[in-house]
Amino acid sequence: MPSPRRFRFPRMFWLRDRHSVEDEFAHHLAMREGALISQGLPPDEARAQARREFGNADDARAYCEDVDAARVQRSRASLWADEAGHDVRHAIRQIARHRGFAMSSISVLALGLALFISALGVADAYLMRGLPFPDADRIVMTRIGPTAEFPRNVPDLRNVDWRVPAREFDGVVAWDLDGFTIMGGEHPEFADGAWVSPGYFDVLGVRPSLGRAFDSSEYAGTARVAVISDGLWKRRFGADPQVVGTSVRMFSIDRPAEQELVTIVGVLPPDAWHVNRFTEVIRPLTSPRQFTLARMKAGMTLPRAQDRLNAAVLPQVPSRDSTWSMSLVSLHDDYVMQARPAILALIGGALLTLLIVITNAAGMSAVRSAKRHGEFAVRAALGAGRARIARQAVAESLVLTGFAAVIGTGVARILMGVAGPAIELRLGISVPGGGSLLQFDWRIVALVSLTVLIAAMLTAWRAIRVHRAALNVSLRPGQSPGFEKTRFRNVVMGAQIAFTFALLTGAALMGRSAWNMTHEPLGFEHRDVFLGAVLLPRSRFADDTSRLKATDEMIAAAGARPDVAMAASAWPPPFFGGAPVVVHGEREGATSNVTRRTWVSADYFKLLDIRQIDGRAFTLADVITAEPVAVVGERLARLLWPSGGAIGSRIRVGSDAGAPWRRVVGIVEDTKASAESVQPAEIYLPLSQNPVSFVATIVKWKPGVAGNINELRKALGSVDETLALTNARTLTSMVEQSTQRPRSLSLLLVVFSVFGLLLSAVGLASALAHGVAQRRPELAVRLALGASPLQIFSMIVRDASVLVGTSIAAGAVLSIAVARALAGQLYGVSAADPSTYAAIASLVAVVALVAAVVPARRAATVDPARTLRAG
Amino acid sequence: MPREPLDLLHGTVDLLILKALSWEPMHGYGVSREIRERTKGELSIEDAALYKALHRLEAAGDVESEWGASDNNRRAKFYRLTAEGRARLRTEAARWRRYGTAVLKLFEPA
Repeated sequence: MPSPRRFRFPRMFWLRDRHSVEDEFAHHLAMREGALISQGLPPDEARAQARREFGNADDARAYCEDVDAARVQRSRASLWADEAGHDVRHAIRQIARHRGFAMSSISVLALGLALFISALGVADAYLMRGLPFPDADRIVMTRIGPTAEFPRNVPDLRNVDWRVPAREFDGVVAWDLDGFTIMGGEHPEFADGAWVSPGYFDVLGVRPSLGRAFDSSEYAGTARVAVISDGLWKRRFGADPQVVGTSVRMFSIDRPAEQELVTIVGVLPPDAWHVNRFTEVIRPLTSPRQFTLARMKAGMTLPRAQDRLNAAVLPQVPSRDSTWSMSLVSLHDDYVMQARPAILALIGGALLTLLIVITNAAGMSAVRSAKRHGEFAVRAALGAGRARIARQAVAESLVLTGFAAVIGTGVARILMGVAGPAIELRLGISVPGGGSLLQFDWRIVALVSLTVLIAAMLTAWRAIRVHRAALNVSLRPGQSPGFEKTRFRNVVMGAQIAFTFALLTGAALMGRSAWNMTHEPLGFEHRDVFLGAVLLPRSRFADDTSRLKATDEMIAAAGARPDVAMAASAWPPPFFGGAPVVVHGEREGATSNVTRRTWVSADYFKLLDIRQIDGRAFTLADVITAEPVAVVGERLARLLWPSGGAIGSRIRVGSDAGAPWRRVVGIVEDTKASAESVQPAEIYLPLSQNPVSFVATIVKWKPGVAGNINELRKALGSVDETLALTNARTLTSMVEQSTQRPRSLSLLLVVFSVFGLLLSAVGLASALAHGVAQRRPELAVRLALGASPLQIFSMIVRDASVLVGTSIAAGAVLSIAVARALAGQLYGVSAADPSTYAAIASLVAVVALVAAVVPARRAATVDPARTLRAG
Repeated sequence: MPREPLDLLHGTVDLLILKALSWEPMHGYGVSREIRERTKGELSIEDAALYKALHRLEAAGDVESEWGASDNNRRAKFYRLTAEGRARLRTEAARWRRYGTAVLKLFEPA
C-alpha cells in the first residue's frame, strides 16, 4: 500500500535526473505486468497488482534520484579538481616563462593591495572593532545637552537624584576626573586619575591584576584607598609585588579636604584600556554624582533610552530652559567621532590607488594578451575548448593576483607594525582595546578575497576575449587580428586617468587645507614658549593670599633664570580647551553666551605678543581689594558694545548671582584656541584678583638659548616642595598637534597620488605603444602616400589627446564627488575650488602628453618600405 | 505462493543483489525474478527496496550501470558488478556462511 505523499524538497534539483529513474521503474512495471498478464490476469488487474507489489514508488524514486545526484556531484567535483590543478600548474609555468612582466605586474598589484589592506586595517581597528568592554555596543555616554555642542543653558543639576535615571539602565558608571600629586620618592609626581563609582569595575569589566577593586565600605567613604595603573606601578613603585597594602601621600586637586595618606589596594593590568587617559590613580567615588556612561538594557534602542533618561531627569529640574534636554551617544561613536572623517578619507585614497593599480594591470595584461596571440592559436589548434581556454586565462590571473595578495598582505603587516604607533599618534586617539592595527578577522579576509577576485577577472577579461578570437581566425605569428577592438583598452586607460585625477584632487584639496591650517594667524606668538601646569595643593595654600604669593613667586623664580626672557601664569593655558562661560554686559540684552575665560597674570599678553588694541592690560594695581577688572577680546567688545564704549563699562561673568561686576579696562586682539574656523569670544580676568589652585606656568626662552627644563622644575620646586610641573611641553607642539591629522592625511594622499600618476603614465605609454605597433601597416601606407613624419606624430598625439581629454572630463566629475566627501575636513578651500581642478587637469594633461611622446615618435619613424614589404 | 516469503534481515538485500549480478549483468526486474525463481519463492525482495539498494550500490561503487535494450526491445538500465563489488560479495558471503552455520549449530541436538 503506497504511503501518503510527503512533500520532500528535492535535494540538488539541478543534478537530479528524473527521467532516468522513472524510466527504470516504468520498465520494471511493464515487465511485471506482462508476466502477470501471461499468467492469465486481465490487463487492469495486472497493472494494479504490479504497482501494489512494487511498494512505495514515490519514496523509492526520490531516494534513488538523491543517491544518483550525490554520485554525479562527487564525480564532477573530482574531475573539476583535477582540471583546476592542471590549470594552476600550467599558469605557474606560463608566469615563470614571462618572468619580467609577471614580476612588474605582481609588484605593482602587491603594492596597491598592501596600501588598501593597511587602510582597511586602520578602519577596522577604529571603526569596526568594538570597544573592549563586555557588551560594548550597549554602552552609551550621557551628554548634558541635546547635541554634541556644549550647551548654553545647562540648568542647575546639583539637586538631581541620579539613582532615578540610573534605574533605566543595566549599570552606570560615574566618575569625577581629578589630578593627584603623589609625594615622596625622588620627586613629587603628578598623575591623572579619577574618582569612580562601582560601575567602573562592573560595567566596564575592569579587573585589577594585583589586589582587588574597592568594596562597598570604601565607596561609603570609610577608608582612603586607591587602585593604581600598571604604568604607575612600574614607574614609581618598581613593580614591587608587595605594593598592595602600602600607603602613599597624595593630594587631589578637586578635593583639597581629602586626607593625604592613601592605601593602595590594587594594580590594574597592563592591557587595561580606557576611553580617557585618567587611569593612573583610581579612587572610590563617595558621593552620588551624574553618571557619564551607562549600559543600556538588552533590547533597548538608543532613542528610547534617551527618552527614558530625560523622562527621569527633566521632572527633577523644574527651573530649566524648555529647549534643554540630555542626550545619549554610543561610546564608540563618541570616541572615534573626530578621527572618523580622516580614516574614511584614508580608505578613499587607498581605494582609488587600488583601482588605478587594478586598471593598470588589466590594461597591461590586455596588451600582453594581444602579443601572445600565437600561443593561443597553438593551444586552440591542439584542441582546447573555449571554456577550457577561458578557465586557463582565469587561472593565470588568479595565480598572479594570488601571489600579489600574499605579498601585499605581508607588506601590509610590516607596514602596520612599523607605522602603527605613528598612525595612532597622528590620528590622535589610540586603537580601541589597544590591539594591533591589522588583525585578520573575517571582514578583512572577505574584502581582500573579493578584491583579488575582481582584479583577477579584470586582468583575465581581455585574455578571455583574445583567446576566443584566436579560435576563429588563423593568423601569422606576431600579427594581431585587424578587427581587435581597442575599446576595452581605451576604457581601462580612461578609467586609470580618471581615478588618478580624482586622487590628485583629493590630495591637492587636503594639502591646501593643511597648509591653510598651519599658516593661519593665531593672534599670539608661540615660538620659544614653554609651559606646564602646577597644582597648588589646598592643604598648603589654603587661601587666596598664599596662592597669589606662590603664583607670583613662581613667576619670579622662573623669570630670574638666565635662559628665560619672560614668565607668566594663566589658566587655562593658550590653545587649550576650557568650559565656556556666559558674559553679561550691563546694557540690557547684551550677552555673550559662549565666551572663553582665561585667568592671566600681568605679563601674559606681553609674553605671547597679543596685541593691545585699546586701554591697558593688568597691572600691580589690580589687587584683590581693588575694583574687579577685566580685559576683553575684540569680538566680545563688538558683540556687547557694537557702537563702542567698551572701556569703562561693566560686565558680569557667569550665571551665578553672586558674581561681581567687573570694569572693562582694555581690549586685545582675538586669538585662536583651536584649529576651528569659528572661534568664541574671549575675556581675560586677572589672577591677582582670583588666584586659582591649578595654574599653568608659561615661560619664553631667551632667543637662541636652549631652555633647561630640569632647572625650571627646580626653580619652581624652590618656591615650595609640592610644586611639580606637569604636562610640560612647548606651545608650538600644542599648536602642531591640532593640525596633525590633516597634515598626515594630505601627506599620505600626496604619496598615493604621485604613485598613481606614475603608474598611469607608464600604462598610457605602453598602451599607446601597442596601438602604434598595431597600426604599423596603416601608418606605412600613409607615409608612403606622402604624409610627413610630423603629421604622423601629431596624429598620434591628437588621438591620445582625445582619450586623455575625455578621461580628464570623467575624472573631473569623479573628483567633484571626492571633494564633496572631503568637504567636512577642508579648511580655507572650498570643495568646488576651480583653481585646484584646473591645476590638476593641467598636470594630468602634461604628464599624459609626455607619456605619448615616445610612442608618437616611434610612429613617425616607421619605415614604410620595410613595413609594406613585410606586410 | 504457498507460504509467506521469509522476512529478510537488513543488509542481506545487498548480498542477494550482488550474488544475482554475479551470474550475469541484468536489469532490476531481472534481479528480482532470478532471486525468486532460484530460491523457489522462499526469498523475494520488495521492488522499491530493490531499486533503492541498486542505486545505493552504484553510488558505493560496487556496481555500475548502463542503459541498453532488454529482451522485449524496451529501454532498460543494466547493472553489472565491479571489481570492488566482487570482492565485497566474497567477504559478505563468507560472513553469512559463518553466521548461518553458527545459528544452525544452536539448533542441533547436543
